[in-house]
Amino acid sequence: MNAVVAGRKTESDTVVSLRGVTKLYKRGSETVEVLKRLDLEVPRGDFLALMGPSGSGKTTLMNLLGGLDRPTSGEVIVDGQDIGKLSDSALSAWRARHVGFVFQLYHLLPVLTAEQNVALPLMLTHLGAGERKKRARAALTLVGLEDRAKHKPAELSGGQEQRVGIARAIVTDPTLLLCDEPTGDLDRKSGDEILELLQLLNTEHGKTIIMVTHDPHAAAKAQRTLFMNKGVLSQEPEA
Amino acid sequence: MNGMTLVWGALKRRKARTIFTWLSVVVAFLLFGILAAVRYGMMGQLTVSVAERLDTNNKAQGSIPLSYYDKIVTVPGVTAVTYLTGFNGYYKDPKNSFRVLAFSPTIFQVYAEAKLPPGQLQAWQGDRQGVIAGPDLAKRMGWKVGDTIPIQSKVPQKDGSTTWYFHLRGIYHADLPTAYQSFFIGHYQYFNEGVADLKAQNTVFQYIERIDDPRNVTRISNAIDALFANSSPQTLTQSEVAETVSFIRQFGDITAMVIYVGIAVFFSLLLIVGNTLAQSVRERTAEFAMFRALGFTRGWIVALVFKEALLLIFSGGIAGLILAWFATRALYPSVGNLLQTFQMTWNAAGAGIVLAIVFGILAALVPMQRIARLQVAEALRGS
Repeated sequence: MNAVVAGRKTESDTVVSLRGVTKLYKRGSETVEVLKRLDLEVPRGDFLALMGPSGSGKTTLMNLLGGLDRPTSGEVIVDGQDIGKLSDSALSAWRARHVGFVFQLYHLLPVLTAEQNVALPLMLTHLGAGERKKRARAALTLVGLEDRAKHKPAELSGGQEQRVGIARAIVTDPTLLLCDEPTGDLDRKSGDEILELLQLLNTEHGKTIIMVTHDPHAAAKAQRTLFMNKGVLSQEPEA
Repeated sequence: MNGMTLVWGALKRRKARTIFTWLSVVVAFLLFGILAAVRYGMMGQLTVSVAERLDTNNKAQGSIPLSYYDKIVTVPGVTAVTYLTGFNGYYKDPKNSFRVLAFSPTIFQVYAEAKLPPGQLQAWQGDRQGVIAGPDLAKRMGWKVGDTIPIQSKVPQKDGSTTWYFHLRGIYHADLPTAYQSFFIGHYQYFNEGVADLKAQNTVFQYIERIDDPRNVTRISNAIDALFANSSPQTLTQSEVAETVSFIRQFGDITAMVIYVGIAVFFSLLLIVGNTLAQSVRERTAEFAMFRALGFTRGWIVALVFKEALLLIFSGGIAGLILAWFATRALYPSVGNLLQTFQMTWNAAGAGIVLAIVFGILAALVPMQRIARLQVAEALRGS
């Protein structure tokens, strides 16, 4: 589990760099410009919150950062790699190695135990079954769920399910954690616990985290917050 | 945990749906196996028919004089002739009943596909009470070479006894369907000399000729029948193949019907399994999007769904074929008299397995297409 719990890196290099990123969508005969020539730099070890109203382009931006979508123009560079130029299969391999996703609705497989869910991304590695199990256990320990390893999602609370989701996201020691409304489906207490866990991963383990949220309380836990409105990023919310 | 854990987990998710779908696959392949056995029952006799063999029967119905033999063997092109009669009998218990065939000693010249160790053939030929049994019959009755076998029948001997004693002199081997593995072949002479009924003496049920060249079938058949054109009874000689074809024609279009029923069953199966898989994939769209987000490729996910389809259909198919094998064995006593080659062959089993794979692919096509078109970002949000 050393890879997951590795100490905070001291380099201040840039992990994410967006240069003139534009994203257009076709809606019927209409073309909608969802992202408008965005520029963004995210240094290693940053915990960035992205806020903005629905339809402002936050999720589109997250999808571009996670390699789930491609920009219409511009460059999305993550850890030195222009991911927009990767083929579909290369992009899949890149995601497996560099990105950990935390979803609002957890997306755990109901038929697998917590430990098996966490070990899922490790199926894409060359690790043996024993090592995969060891790493999944270590990730569960990190999120405080070592005693729930053999429980299935239906036997866990929402907060615990999200912890399993976070353990799954960090088990491969990715370059970047992308969290899409990680507390959106939780009560305040469970949400706070998740945010504290994300803070811990950022401060103690040096994880670079980008979190989309509607909740100012959640955004306040991040190191900094950017606001997205009508496809444009700004330091301040729109008045 | 590996890919199969996920495949198995997906199938277990909705147990009732999976079980009912699986059972529909089992029933379809059970039906396939039985229909294949019926078809083989009709067509299989053709495959064991030998082009160089002719059958001579009474042109009307009934027996033929033994005296015809001396004339038939003189027909040019005839290389060997045998004749037979027979009666129904049983061994110890009426449940162990079978047909006792009484052949001339030349039988193994005409039926060359039945193999006997040389010593056993000589032993049989030298013993008028000798009998050669098929391997299945000998095994079923627990006989071994050298045993004396009392056969009970309703055919009395001259001394009034209805028990015929035979000495098992050999067990033949033949690469033929099951129906041909249970013959009981005694000597015509033993029967002819022992039978009390005067009408049964010196008559035969049929002559069987082996000829030099299948191209001479018509000429030789006509030549044999011409010998007895002015006799009573007249004869009708035809090739074994032609006789089998005329037997199959009695069934009309049953073979075609068997095929049409099979197609209808499998088309329904395709719709059932395809719909089940499509529904299962639809329910798991967000999960597949999650897999993609974690770094799994489209191909990996498509393969996962394909394995689910294949496991469902293949395991159901194999189970259905195994059941069909048992069912055809159980049904044989009821239909074996009519369809002597009624059995599920290895070829049918092989065809069933290929069919299972093809249906697995076809049933998985629609859900696999859905996965190939999956928009990950939308699917993650849409859930």
